[in-house]
Amino acid sequence: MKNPKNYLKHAPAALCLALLCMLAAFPARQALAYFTTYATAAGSAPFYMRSVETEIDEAFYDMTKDIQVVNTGEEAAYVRVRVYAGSAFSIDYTPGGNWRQEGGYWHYDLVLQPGERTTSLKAKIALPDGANSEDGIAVETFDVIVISEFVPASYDANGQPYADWDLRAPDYAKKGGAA
Amino acid sequence: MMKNKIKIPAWALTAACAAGLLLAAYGTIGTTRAALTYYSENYVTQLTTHRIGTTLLENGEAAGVRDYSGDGDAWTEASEPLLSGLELPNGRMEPGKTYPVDLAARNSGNIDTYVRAVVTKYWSDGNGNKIRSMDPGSIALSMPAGSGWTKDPSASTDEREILYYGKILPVDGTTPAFIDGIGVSGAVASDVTVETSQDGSVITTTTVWAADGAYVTLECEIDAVQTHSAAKAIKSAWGVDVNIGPDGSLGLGKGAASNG
Repeated sequence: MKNPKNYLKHAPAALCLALLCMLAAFPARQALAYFTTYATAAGSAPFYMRSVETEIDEAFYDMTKDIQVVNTGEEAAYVRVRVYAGSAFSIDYTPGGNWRQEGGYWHYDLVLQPGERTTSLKAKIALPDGANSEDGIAVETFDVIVISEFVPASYDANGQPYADWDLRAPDYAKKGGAA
Repeated sequence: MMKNKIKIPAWALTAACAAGLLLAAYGTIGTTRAALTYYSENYVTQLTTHRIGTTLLENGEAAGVRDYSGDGDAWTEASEPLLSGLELPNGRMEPGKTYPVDLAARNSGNIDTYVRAVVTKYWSDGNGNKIRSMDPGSIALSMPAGSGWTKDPSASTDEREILYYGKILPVDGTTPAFIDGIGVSGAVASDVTVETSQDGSVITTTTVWAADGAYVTLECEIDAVQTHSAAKAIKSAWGVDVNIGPDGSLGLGKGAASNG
């Protein structure tokens, strides 16, 4: 039979251990006592692109290119046009409404909705002085190249459309026609 | 043979008897008092339970709720899909446009709180699967200036923003909107794959936008913490250091930028 005094020897250690356990429990209880909560929600909205395409609709008469651009795609777009000819030829422009010349391009300032077209931009080609004369340059044929570029319309914070000509995409190729 | 005897001193026996008498006397008095209260008038008592609660509002309507019910570990919870009320004229979001959606927080408990918002945005396939190859930075969130919400730049990524409301949100109070619009940058049109095929003299070029058919996905969480011992509570719950001003204003540690 074991002596009861042996148990009493361990009593102080057991009391200390119990006290430590109690002390350790207090900070944990405090940390859990803060009132917190959270509320969550999630959702999605569909997004997809539609084609952005334009075509040049042009006529040539009286040494004049009569140029219009048509939005044949499914997105609103902005367009601009540039006309090239040989250095010996000069080009005299007669813009319709909303055309503005800047940086070598003629910008059409209105957004083109699908199916809409620009007003006319007329580019009259002038032959060099004395062309086809005995002493001058013989001109039988010449090329005038019209290039039209477009970007899909961007929108500002107020929902107003604007043209961001820094947008780049490989398929937003320059579209042109030649006569 | 010696026997082990434990000798109990006389004074200890006396003290034990005295203690027994005192306990017996106290018990009698207690019983007597209990009998007296039987005839006393009825008293009306009211127990007030602290109930914390928070609600995420989308355009003024509750989109997410989690309120303590005051009964054990029971909570009142609800969650509605976000962005379902977006006005999409063509049934879809279009690049370069911002669509209005107001997200705010409301205190739906019965104690004042500090709140923060964790907003996560990403592209998904419509079945809830995240498209990791697409840049979440092309999803733009509009955060109004002067709203009182402060963005934590140290926690900001292309996919996630954490915003803190700089004031105490009183019971039944609603914050100004921390998000008032969502859109897709027009630059998403640059993220394309071009495939070219040739059939005889005909060359066909097909452009596929990475974002075509994808879904703009938004997750939002409102976290709320008690105002008592707020700095410690916020450190414990959110893991961030904050400064609480004398007027109750909440400020982030160094590096915080305010839009409020």
